[in-house]
Amino acid sequence: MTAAATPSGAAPDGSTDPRVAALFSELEPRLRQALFAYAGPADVDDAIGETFAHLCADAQRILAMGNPHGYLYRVARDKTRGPRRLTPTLPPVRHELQPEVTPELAPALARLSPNQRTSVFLAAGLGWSWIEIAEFLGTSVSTVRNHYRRGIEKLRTEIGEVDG
Amino acid sequence: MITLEDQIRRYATDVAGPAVGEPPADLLQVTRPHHRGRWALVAALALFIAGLAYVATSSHDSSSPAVTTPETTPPLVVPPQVTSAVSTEQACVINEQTTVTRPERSVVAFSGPNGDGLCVSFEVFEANAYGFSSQGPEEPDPALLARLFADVPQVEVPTLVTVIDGNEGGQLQVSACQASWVQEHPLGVISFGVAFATASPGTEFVRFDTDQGPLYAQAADVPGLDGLRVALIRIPSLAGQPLAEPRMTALDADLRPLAPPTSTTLAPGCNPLSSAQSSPALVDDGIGDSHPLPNSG
Repeated sequence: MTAAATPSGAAPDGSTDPRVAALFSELEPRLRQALFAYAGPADVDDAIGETFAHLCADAQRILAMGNPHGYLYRVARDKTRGPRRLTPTLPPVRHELQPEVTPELAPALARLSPNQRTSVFLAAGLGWSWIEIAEFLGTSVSTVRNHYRRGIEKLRTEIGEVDG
Repeated sequence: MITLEDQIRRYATDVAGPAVGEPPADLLQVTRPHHRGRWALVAALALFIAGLAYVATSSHDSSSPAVTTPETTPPLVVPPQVTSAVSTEQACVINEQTTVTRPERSVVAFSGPNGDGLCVSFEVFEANAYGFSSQGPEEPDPALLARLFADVPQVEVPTLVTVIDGNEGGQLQVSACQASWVQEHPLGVISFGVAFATASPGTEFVRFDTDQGPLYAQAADVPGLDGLRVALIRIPSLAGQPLAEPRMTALDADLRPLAPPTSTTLAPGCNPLSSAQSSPALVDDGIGDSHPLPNSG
């Protein structure tokens, strides 16, 4: 299978457009965290690689977008999801290192809806702002806060707070 | 006592890297709304209801006895206006002069404001390379579908859309005319040469993995076809015979556009390209831009 066109993200000398590289290096750590929150650790690396390829192939259009971060997150998210991704497998709590964290936290997080899990994990877990989460999810801040509120309430019902 | 938020933070930073900042300042307020505001809302609502009841009572007292007429409740949901039709004839008009009938295959001709000429060829499914078979219009057993996809892990379709991979020859499985569930069940079908996959609302794109790499097709609404949502790709083999040149309008494994086809691979009696001419957004080159399907000549 041969290519018939040069990816638009490639410079004339064949190297990657510096704007593409800058965008992706800025985006990649957060993309990794957001994908982890959405679908768990499986396939995150592959999804990020494919997203970068997609960015290179259509760089001009993506760079001109108003919210390229959100677009690329949704592209990456689609790479990871499928029927088997509805309930992701999150790594278990390492109880020997974090005895104050209940082992029930990981499965309870996995049972949340994807948007609830993403909002809870990124806001409470990794310190993302509402605006940053909304940008990735392509929605409004109030919607993100609603996802967060419902998610955290579900978690509180299931596992609550523990003595630590 | 360690709070739930603290537990989440410790767990998340352990499994997903360092936190990028402090949690939003109003994190706790999101989950613990001000009860004062809630009571104010309840009070305002009670006042509104009381006022409404007063107005209703006073207007009832002042009005003369009226003749009671049976009220007709308007329908809550307005049925959509039919803008297109699906012919049940076993024929498709390739052009204005030629009508081709395919007795061995169910050929559905669409007509409508923008769907004129779109012709989708369906063939009753017999068996495919994965041993799945369906002899009639009944909906396939979900367990059977699950087993099918367990055997075909490379077929991944996002957003809960199920696309049944065709066999290696690209034969088509179902007759849309005979199997009404096709139009309701989120099931995709793959055709000869040009592949159609019906997709549910919300599906952004469909991925087909072939031995030559994944093919991507953007799902698109066909204007004027009552919500028919299709994904169009070209598959690189036809009836088990590999084509000289892989042909697809989607992207290959490296997400690079391929050369347009050089000769026709369409099943006789079906000319879906004519619809692409009238609805240029039908075909997508992957996940992003839409463009008309290249004429296969």
